[in-house]
Formats: sequence, C-alpha cells, structure tokens
Amino acid sequence: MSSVAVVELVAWVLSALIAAWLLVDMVRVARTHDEATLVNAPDPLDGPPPAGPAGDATSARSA
Amino acid sequence: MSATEDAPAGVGTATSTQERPALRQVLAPMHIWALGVGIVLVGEYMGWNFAVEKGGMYGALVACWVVGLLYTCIVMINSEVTSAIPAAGGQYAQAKHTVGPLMAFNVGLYLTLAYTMLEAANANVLSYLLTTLSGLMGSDQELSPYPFAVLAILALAFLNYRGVFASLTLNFVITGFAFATILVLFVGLRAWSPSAELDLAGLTGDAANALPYGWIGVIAAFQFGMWFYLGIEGTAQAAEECRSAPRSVPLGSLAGIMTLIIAASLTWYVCAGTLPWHYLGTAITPLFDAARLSGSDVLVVLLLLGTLCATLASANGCINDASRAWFSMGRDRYLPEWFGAVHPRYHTPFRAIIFLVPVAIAFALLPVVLDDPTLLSVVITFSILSGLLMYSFMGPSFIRFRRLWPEGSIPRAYTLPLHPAPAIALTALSAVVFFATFLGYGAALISILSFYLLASIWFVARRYKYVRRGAQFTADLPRPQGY
Repeated sequence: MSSVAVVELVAWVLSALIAAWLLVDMVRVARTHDEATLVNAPDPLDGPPPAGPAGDATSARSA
Repeated sequence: MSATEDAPAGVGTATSTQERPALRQVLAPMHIWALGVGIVLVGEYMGWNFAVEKGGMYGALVACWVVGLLYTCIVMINSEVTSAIPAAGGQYAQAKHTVGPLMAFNVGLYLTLAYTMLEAANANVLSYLLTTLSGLMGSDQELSPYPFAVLAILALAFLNYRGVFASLTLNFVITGFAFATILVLFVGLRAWSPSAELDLAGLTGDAANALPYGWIGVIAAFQFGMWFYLGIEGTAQAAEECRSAPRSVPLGSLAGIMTLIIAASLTWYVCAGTLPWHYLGTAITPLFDAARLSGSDVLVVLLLLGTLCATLASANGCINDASRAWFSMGRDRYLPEWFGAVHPRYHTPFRAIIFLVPVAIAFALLPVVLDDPTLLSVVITFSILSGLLMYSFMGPSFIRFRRLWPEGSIPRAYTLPLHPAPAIALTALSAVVFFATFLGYGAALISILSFYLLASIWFVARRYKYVRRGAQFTADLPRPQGY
C-alpha cells in the first residue's frame, strides 16, 4: 500500500470515527433528556415578555 | 458536567426558562475579531484577483476600497443593532424585530446558505491545497480530494459541537497566523523599497494594465471586490455567546474591518507589483504565487501554511455562523423546533451543527463527483448572492430600527455616526454590486431569486402557522409605540 493510500485511509477512518461519535452523542442526549428541557425557545407561558409603554404580550405585529 | 445534564428524562413540559440549557456566554472581543476576520481572510489568498481580470489592476484597487466602504457601513450598522439586540442569528434577529417574520425567514435562509456554501467551497479548496502540498513534497501520486474535504468538515463540526470557546480560540490563532504571513510577505519582498523585487510602476503604470476596460470594467470588478470582506458581518451571529455583547461586538467587528482593509490593500499592492495582470486575473492562489516568485523557500512554506490556515479558519467560522442562524430559526419555530435544541453539556446548537454537515459535504464534493470544476464557482456565487441579498435589506432595516428606537430611547453601546448617510450608502452600493453581479452572473442571480421566492411561498403557506406570534419579540427593549 502506498503512502498516499495510507494517508487517505487514515482520513477516512478519522472521518468515520468523528461522524459516529457525533451521531451517538446526539442520540444519547435525546434519550437521556426531555425534549422540553433541550429546546431553548421563548415560551409565552414562562412569564411576561418585556413590556414597553404601549405593548402587551399578544399584540406583537405578525407582518 | 453541568447541572442541567443530570436532569432526568420525563420532566414535565412546563419547564421554566431557567432550567433550559442556553448558549454559553464566554466570548471576548478577540473571539469576535477571529470569527469575522477568520471567515474572510481566505478571500485575500484567493478569489479577489478575478477582479483584476474584469477591471485591471486599478479596477481591482477601486473595487477593494469601494466595496470596503460598503462593508464598513455593514459593520457599523451591525455594531449598533447587535449591541441592542444581542441574539444568536444576528441579522435574522434584527429582521425579526424591525421588519417581520417573512423577512426574518428569508434573512435566516440567506445566512445559513451563504455560510454553508462558503464552508463547502473552503473544504473543496482545502483538498486542492493538500494535493498541491503533496506535489511540492515530491509525491508523484495524486491525492484524492474526497477524504480530506470530508475530514475537514467533520473535524471542524466536532470542534464546534464541543464548544464555542475552543473553536473560536483556535480561529484566533490560525487567523492571526494567516494575517501575519501577509505582513511577512510584504516585509520579505521589501515592498517599500523601489530597488526591491516589486515592479509596481512597470506592471500597473500604463492604461493597458491599470484600466483595460474603462469604468464599466471597474463596476464589473465590484462583485469580486466582495471577496476581500465577504463574511465579516458574521460577527453578529456570536452576540448571544459574548460575555458582554455591547462591548465585544463593536470592538471585535470594527477591529476586524480595519484588519481586513489593511490586509486587502497589502495583498493588492504585493500581487500587483509581482504578477502581470493577465496572470493575476486568473491565478488560483495569487499570494502564494507572489511568494514563489520571491525565490525564498521560507516565504513559500509560510504562505502555503497561511493559505491552509485561512481556509480552515473560514470553514470553522462558517460552521459557527450557519448553525447559529439555523438554530435561531428553529428556536422561533420558523423551522421545526427540534433544531432549536442546545446541548446540555457543551451549550452549543448541536442539532443545527450536525444537520448542516451532510449539506456542506454534498456541496463540497459536487464539483468533484460530477467532474465539473466550474460548479465550485456556482457554489461560491450562490454564497455571494445570498450575502448580497442580505446587505440590500440592512440599510432600510436600520432606518426602521432608528425610527422604532430613536437615539436616547434605549442605551446604546455604539451609535452609528452620520445617520442616515451610512444606511443610504449601503443601499446604493449594494445596488451597484447587484448590477455588477448581474453583468457576470445574470442567470445565477435570477435562479437564486426564484429559489428564495419559492422558499417564501413555502414559509407563508406551510410554516407560518407554527410560528408563535406572541413570542417573537425577544429583545430586552421596550416595545415601540404601535408595535
């Protein structure tokens, strides 16, 4: 096997290892945590949004 | 391990905001500088020189400075708005607050595609550079581009997945090195000395070299003048992860644009003084070629390493920015909320990072798989046009921002001087660059506009019903009158 082939093989193996680790970790997190605790979304039920002089929580324009 | 990582499964859905993992606020001005300059600096090493083919030596210089003015306006506008609305997604969050959901969706899409395409192009170029390196090291066998493009994207995605601090600290080191190599080349060629290797007067001094196609050539050169700065606006994406966004974003961004204007001017000067314009206009790696002409092995090695570092830094920054834009849209339900998740241990938008990996790999390998190198320029054009569409929105958006929150109504860490002149200048210059791009890539421009039109129709018809309309105002600002 030539040195070029060895270098290319090492690159493929490293790529496969990284891809596998990323996927395994993503699945692990999904299985061990409730989805509601992961999603970092603003929830209108959490509390009142910042209110200005003329605003309220539901009057935001939805253009 | 953070406390949130140990939270048991099956917790009720009424989880408070405090218990949710958030992006970690760890970044300093140097990271913002590294993010902005890191994405862009590869454009100094390659790509900008196509402006010389369009407009000649002076045409490229005019493009360098006029487009530099356009990006200075962008950076100043970003600095003010982002210091007031420091949210991941940057311009997407700005559009959400100043215009509305449809504009925000489009801006989020521009950002994601611009950075993902740029990342794909960087990975493709990286594999080309490694092949060149193996040739210089005496290998007579050609390296396959597939494994190295894939490895580069995956390794950088892994780094971004594990934490923003490490990935942008790495960017600071390799971007600093790449910038230093440009300075070293300038010093190594003794560019200030008339008796040294540069032949600026000889190579650019007559009309045939300086402005071969007149002023229309200068206008046509503008689209490639963007290469000097394309991506500096990405500093806004990291605002939510700064220790102090009102301090870090303006400092890092303004230092970044100053760095880039210096780097761009030096690059033009060195290349215009060493390479004939016909060659420079079509060269793949002009700075590296200038180093080879010097005859110094040290400069050759340094510039090759600088090119590699600049390419890696650009791909790394692109992963960071594209994932933040995608994550932000998921968080606001412009996309499935699944993408709005934050990793409980690493505090990164991990699903957005992983989702964009196969997209980037596909676009990086497309020119190789189809054996059509011109597809690389199509990928890059897609990225540039997406960026350009975003710039054209920023001027009007900023004028509206100032109307909604006039000076004195909210605290500003940075206030744009001479308002509305920079916003008007940005809009006018964007229109000129659009025209220049139409001259060279008219079909691509129409195709991409059609793509975004279809995406907008999909958003309005199929996705808008999922957006929580009452929860879109997330900035820590008073709601303006009538909002």
